[in-house]
Amino acid sequence: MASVELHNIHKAYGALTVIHDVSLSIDDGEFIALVGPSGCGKSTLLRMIAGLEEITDGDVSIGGQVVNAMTPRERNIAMVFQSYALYPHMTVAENMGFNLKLSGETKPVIEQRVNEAARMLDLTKLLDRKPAQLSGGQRQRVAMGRAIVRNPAVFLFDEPLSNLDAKLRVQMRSEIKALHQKVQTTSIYVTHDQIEAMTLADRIVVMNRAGSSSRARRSSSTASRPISSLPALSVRRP
Amino acid sequence: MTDLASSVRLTTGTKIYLYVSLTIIAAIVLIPLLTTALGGFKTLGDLRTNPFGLPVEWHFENYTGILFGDRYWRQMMNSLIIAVLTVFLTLSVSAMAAFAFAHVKFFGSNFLLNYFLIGLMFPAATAILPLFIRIRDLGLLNTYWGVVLPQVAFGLGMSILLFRNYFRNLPEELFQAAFVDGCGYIRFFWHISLPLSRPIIATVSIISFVGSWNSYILPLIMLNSDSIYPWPLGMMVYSGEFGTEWELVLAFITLTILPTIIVFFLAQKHIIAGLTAGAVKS
Repeated sequence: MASVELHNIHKAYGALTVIHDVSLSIDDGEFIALVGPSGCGKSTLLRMIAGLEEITDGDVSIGGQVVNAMTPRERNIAMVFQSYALYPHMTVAENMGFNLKLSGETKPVIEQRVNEAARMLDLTKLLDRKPAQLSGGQRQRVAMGRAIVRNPAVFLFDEPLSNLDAKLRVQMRSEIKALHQKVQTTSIYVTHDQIEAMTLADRIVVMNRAGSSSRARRSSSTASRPISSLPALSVRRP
Repeated sequence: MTDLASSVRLTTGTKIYLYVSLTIIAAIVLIPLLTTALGGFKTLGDLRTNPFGLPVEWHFENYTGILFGDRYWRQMMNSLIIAVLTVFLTLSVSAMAAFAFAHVKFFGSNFLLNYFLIGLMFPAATAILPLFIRIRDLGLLNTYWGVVLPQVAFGLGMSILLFRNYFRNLPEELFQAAFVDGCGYIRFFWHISLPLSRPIIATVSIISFVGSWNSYILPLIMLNSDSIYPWPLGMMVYSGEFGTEWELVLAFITLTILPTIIVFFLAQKHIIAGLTAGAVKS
């Protein structure tokens, strides 16, 4: 677990700047949601925190350490992708244990951690299956399991529920909430679904189309007492 | 075909047209093969009077004579060694090169790729003299490597192209997930890309195996001792020796085709669609 600090982050692709000067401070154990319209750069911002995208200007610190030049592994983050991104040739257990195997953990340790995570996510019976034999919700749970087994400093979620149907989405939302309450790991959650953001997050960061963020407020107060017109327009009942 | 048949009702005319045209094409492929295989069971007289029909009397001794002689097995073994080395080297070199072209951005990568692809335009025959001189200078004349290395070099262009296109079509998220999990390029290649590339590995293997198995001109130039001749050269010597005994030549040809067919059927079952099913939401 660790705090995350963003200092004057910029992202440009050639002459096109997509993120303008975003600064944000996320406390240890906090659950933050990044919301905003499509194309506003919220996923790009998340990928910069993950280390999958280079930072044009500014600093990202995790646990007080600037991580700009570090690989995702060195940053000790775990990411859940919108498309699950499970390895199709591995079983659920292998998928979940893959990062532990890469870091040289012994078999009994991997097995124990995978079983623990599987129990937490109700995946114990599915450990021997391949991703193709799972439903969408189960695949998403495996993707989350893969993130928890390594006990990361920060969880990053990139619209993890947008491929699920409405009913499953509500169920998974409460599972993510419960999971966060259990493990208390700092989490950053990108979504364009404001209900998802409001039910899950401690604070919501609203980004506008120009790729800069409005200041974040407690999620309960964002809709009722917005601090500017942007969150007021972005976060309202559909 | 099944999709077409189940979704569109075909008229009788179309059906007749399909069956007739497919039968003709199948016949063009199968009749020479069958004629060759059956010819091996005939006597020379039978072959002359009845080239296409079933043998009047089945003579298995043509086949058994070849199978129990050491010449056939020696040539098969030579061909097999050359083909296996060619396939192994082509697969490992082209897969690694294609992975670099598909995933690593570096200065001059396009130029380098095009350089490899130029190789597609030249058949080995056009470069036979410089090749011979080079192989002679390397001291590889009359060795397996003298045939294998040029074959691998000429096969690289096509194999890199096939591998690169396949690697580029693997979902981008898989690479990112692996990167987050702690993979570098090499581990991603080994643990993720290769296990998912069975169809393309099988395809490249078949192309390169069959190419090497049937290769005639390169061994002809590079090899000059009977003991390391692969079967096409052995065939030449054999038909020179038994030029009038066509039934033996036909039996020999039939037996040399067999390994290619076996390899094809073994590799074919790996060329299956949907291997990446379940990786990402499509």
